[in-house]
This record gives sequence, C-alpha cells and structure tokens, in this order.
Amino acid sequence: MHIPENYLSPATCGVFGAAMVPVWVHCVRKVKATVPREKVASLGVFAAFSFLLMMFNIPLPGGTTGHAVGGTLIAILFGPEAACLAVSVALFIQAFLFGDGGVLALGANCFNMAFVLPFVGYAVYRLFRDHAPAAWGDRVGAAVGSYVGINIAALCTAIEFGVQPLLFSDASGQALYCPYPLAVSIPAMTIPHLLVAGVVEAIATVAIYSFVKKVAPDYICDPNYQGAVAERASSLKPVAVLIAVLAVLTPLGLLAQGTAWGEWGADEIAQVATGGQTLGYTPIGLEGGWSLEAVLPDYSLAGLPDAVGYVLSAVIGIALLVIVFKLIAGLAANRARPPRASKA
Amino acid sequence: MEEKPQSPGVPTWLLQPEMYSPPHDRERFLRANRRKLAGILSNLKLQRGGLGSDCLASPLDRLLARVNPAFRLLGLIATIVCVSISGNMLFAWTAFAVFLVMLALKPAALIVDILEPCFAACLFTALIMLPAAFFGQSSALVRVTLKVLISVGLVLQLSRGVAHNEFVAGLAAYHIPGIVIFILDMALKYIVLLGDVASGALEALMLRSVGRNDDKSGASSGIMGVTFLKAHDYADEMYEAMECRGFTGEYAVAARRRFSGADGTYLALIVLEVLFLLFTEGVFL
Repeated sequence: MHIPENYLSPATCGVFGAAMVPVWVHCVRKVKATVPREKVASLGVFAAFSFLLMMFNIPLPGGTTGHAVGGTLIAILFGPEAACLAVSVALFIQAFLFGDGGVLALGANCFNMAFVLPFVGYAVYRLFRDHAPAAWGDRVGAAVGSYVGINIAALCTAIEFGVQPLLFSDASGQALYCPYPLAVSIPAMTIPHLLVAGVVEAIATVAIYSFVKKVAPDYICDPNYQGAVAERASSLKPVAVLIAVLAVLTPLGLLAQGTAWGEWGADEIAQVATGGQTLGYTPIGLEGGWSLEAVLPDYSLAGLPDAVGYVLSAVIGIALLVIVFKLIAGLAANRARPPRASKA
Repeated sequence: MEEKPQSPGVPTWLLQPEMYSPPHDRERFLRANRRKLAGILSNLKLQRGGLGSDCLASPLDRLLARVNPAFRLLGLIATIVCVSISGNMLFAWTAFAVFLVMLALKPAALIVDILEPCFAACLFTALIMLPAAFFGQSSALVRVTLKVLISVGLVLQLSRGVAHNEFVAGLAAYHIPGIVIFILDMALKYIVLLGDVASGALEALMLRSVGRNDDKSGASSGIMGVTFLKAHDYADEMYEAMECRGFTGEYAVAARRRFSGADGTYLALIVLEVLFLLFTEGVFL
C-alpha cells in the first residue's frame, strides 16, 4: 500500500501532508497526556517494532507469505494515537532510508496507513470488545478490526489514485501521474486487499495479540484498556452486522489461497538479475512499434537544439557503461575471492 | 531379544540406529524473513558510528559530505518536486543523467546496493502502468517509471551518503519538535537491536524445526510477540537509564552546524535547478 513517488501529483501530496499535521499534533499531545512519562520514552522503541513488523513475513495457507502493516495491532497494544506516531516514523524511515514509498507521498501514505488504518481498526475492535461477550469479543474484534482497517485504508489509497487522472492531465489528455480512473483503481486496490492482504493482516494481528495477551498481559499499555472491561453484552446488533459482512467475504478469502501473493519477491529478484540493464525500458519493447508514436512526442525536447539531446544521451550512455563495467568487475572480483571466514 | 549391552550404563535403546528422515517442509517464511532482516540489519549496522570509508569513495560524495545534511534534505525534496511537476521530459532526462553520473563514480558494491531497490520499484511501477499503455496512456508508463527511478535513486544515494545520526540531527533545522526527532533516532537504533532479537529467535526456530511445522502462524507470531516483549523491556531499561542521567521529559537537540561555503554552493545549485525547470517548462520563452 506504499504509494511510490510520482503516482500522486505534488499538489495532492501537499494536501495530505497538510491534513496530517493536525493529526500528528493531536497524537503527540494525546500520547504525552495519557501515556505515562516513562512510556513516552518508549515510543521510539515501538516505532522500531512497527518497522520490523512491516518487514516480517507471515506464512499464508498454500505455502506463500505476505506481510502485515500491523497498524491495528499497535493500536490495540498502545492506543491508536501511539500507533499513528509509531507507524508514521516507520514510514518515514522506509521512505528516506530504504526508498520504500515516496518522499512527497509520505503525507498520503501516513494518512492511509498511520491514520485511517489504526483509527478505523481500533474503532471496530472497541465495538466488539465493549459489546460482545468477553469470551470471544476481544479476539474477534482484533481480527475484524484489522481486516476492516486495512481495507478502508486500501479504499482511501484507491481514491487518491483514482482522482489523479481527473485532476491532472496534459493538453493531449495523457495523465501526468497515476493514469487510472476510480473505476479501475478502486477494484484494483480493494479486491486484493479484501481477498489476501486483509486476511494476512487479521491472521498476524490475532496471532501476535493472543501471544502477548497469554504470555505477558501486563505489557498491553493501551490507556483505554483497563477501564472498559465491565458493562458488555448489551447490544450485539452492530457486531452481528459486521459478522454477516465478514461471513459474506470469507469465501472470497478461501478462493484467494492459491494466488501467489508475496511470492513475487523472489521473481522480482530474478527479473532484476536478468533484465538489469534494461532500466525500465522493457515495457516499450514489449509493446512493439505502435506505442512509440504515442511515446515519442513526449521525448521531443520542446524546440531545443538537437545538440542538447545528443549531449544528454551521451552522458546517460557513458554513465550507464561505467556502471555496467563496474558491476561486472565487482561480480568477477567476488567470484575470484574465496568466501570470507565467518566473523560477521 | 537378548541383546548384550556394548558398554555398561548405556541403555540399549540409545544404541539403536535411528532411521528418522524428517518430512519435507517448505519454510519460505523463515527463509524470506531471515533474508529480509539480514538485509535491513546489515544496512543499518554499516552506519553505526558514522559512514564507512566505502560510502565516500566517490570524489563527488566527498564534496557533498561537506554540505549540511539539512540542506541536502532540502535539495532532495526540491529535486523530487521538480522532477514530479516537470511536464517536459528534458528535465527528467537531465536529472536521470546527473543521477547516473553520481552513481557511476561510486564503488560497485554501493551501486548494487542502490540499484537493487530502484529496480524493484521500477519493475513494480512498470507492471502497474502497463495496462495504461493499452488505454492509450503509454506516455504515462515511461514518464512515471522514469520519475520513480530518479526519485528512489536519489533518496537511496542520500541515505547511503549521509550518516543517519547526522541526517536525523539535520531535521532540527526545520523546527521539527524534539520529541519527534528523539522518536526517530531511537527507532533507528532499536531497529538494529530488535532486529537482532528477531533474527536470533528466527535462527533458534530454524535450528529447532525438524520435520513439518503445522503451526507456522503460531511460530511467526511467537517471534514477533517475543520481539514485542523485548521492545517493552528495552524501553523500560532505556527510560531508567535516561532518568539516571537527568532526563526530565524535555528533549533538546544538539547545536547546529555553521553555514559554510559548501552549503552556499549547494543552495546556489538548488536555485539553478529550479531555474532550469522553469526554463524547460517554457516560463522564460
């Protein structure tokens, strides 16, 4: 769900960045006010935990793996405001140090994954925990909450993508950023999340939450946790509606077990190794000549002398050659050298 | 039936040869997690106590290292914004050329380190954008893929060329609250510590896993659960250590760097870049 750079226009990114500022301010204040001082010091550690959680693969039925965002889990464990800060910091580190998710799109990514996801997931979880019987309300709430949370977040992402072609296209009608309208982006984003990613999120949330609850229940430091155990089983209606929705969606989840979600991490590496020197040009080659007519006007350098184009191509070509030779030399050197002793 | 013990004290059942061959199990999640964790940890550990000599092998990087990281962050964001809003591809191709030249000066290991995530991002983008070509939006495919490559590449070059602690300290120049900088700094340090815990637990699980593991979800949630508990302990210990050193709940970020000639040159380059963007967009024509 990480939106890379250039899928959203800078204007959209600016709007989401601005929208997140009051959210962050509220979260910092709320965390400072409700979380005891000794816990404030621990936010960085939980941000690190959130980062690792996003990196951690969870096994799926059918031998494949997927990773969870874990926003709802962190919201259940520490409260949604702390989750917002922890996930935001994790996203920041991913964007700036690992190139995962756009720097400009950070505001939008934080809106989806650090604001919508934990707050929606936590609200649904609270609905179950406060109204359903204690025997199952907690766990089912965690599962449904995380499932609903990630899907609403995916829907928000889809809407952000989908409005781009409506708002930003050039004179010839070509989209400047994400080219897919809402009719394409919403199903493309929500169906995989309803079928697979939501299931992964729910499995991971319930499994880790149950583990922590069983092994060390005192460690759950959501400020709302202690007070709300009493008074339940009064209204089961909203819970019943949610269960009905989930029941309708479950068969879809079963259908998806055979898909190779998360497997393409390995495929990706193979493709990078074989097609490494194509630098993303492959799609044009695949499409053949017809697309070139559409692509070429884009390369025309706005009435500038050809020399500029030649110089630019020469610089790109020489730099590419140097990189390729360095890589080949590096590989050869690695092969010639015996494996290093295990000193780590 | 009467079996003679070969040595006194050793029970006979211990002397029976074991013919157990464990059933085959796919341990993709163990392998994938180990690989991923190892990659992240090696990346962050390299940066402990500043940059390695390898990171500054390129003469261009040595020059850039003199610039205040706060300005380099500004330059990065300015470049990404410029690339993003440029309608004319001349700007994007020029940025691409500059990116390649900067890359070509680096040692091979660092080039691989930077290009791997770039290619992953580009491949993903190209795949996502491929259907757009069939809608007659083929220029979006090239445009977005190239821009993604430049943006990701520049981010990674900065991340590999600036020590993480300096980068975080550079944020102070933008009046980001001390608590946010503190959280970020702690997160970076504890990713390494917690990552070590998680990879240790993962290794233990791998060593002890013989045969088929039917509860893989349980196993992986156990690892993350243990990591969570460890995070909790670390946080408590850190707070105690901080209190012992006089922590009162206020975070102060250390003094800022002085403005140098390198900073001035760098800022001038950013201005030139923006002017070049305006020129390619035809503002001066």
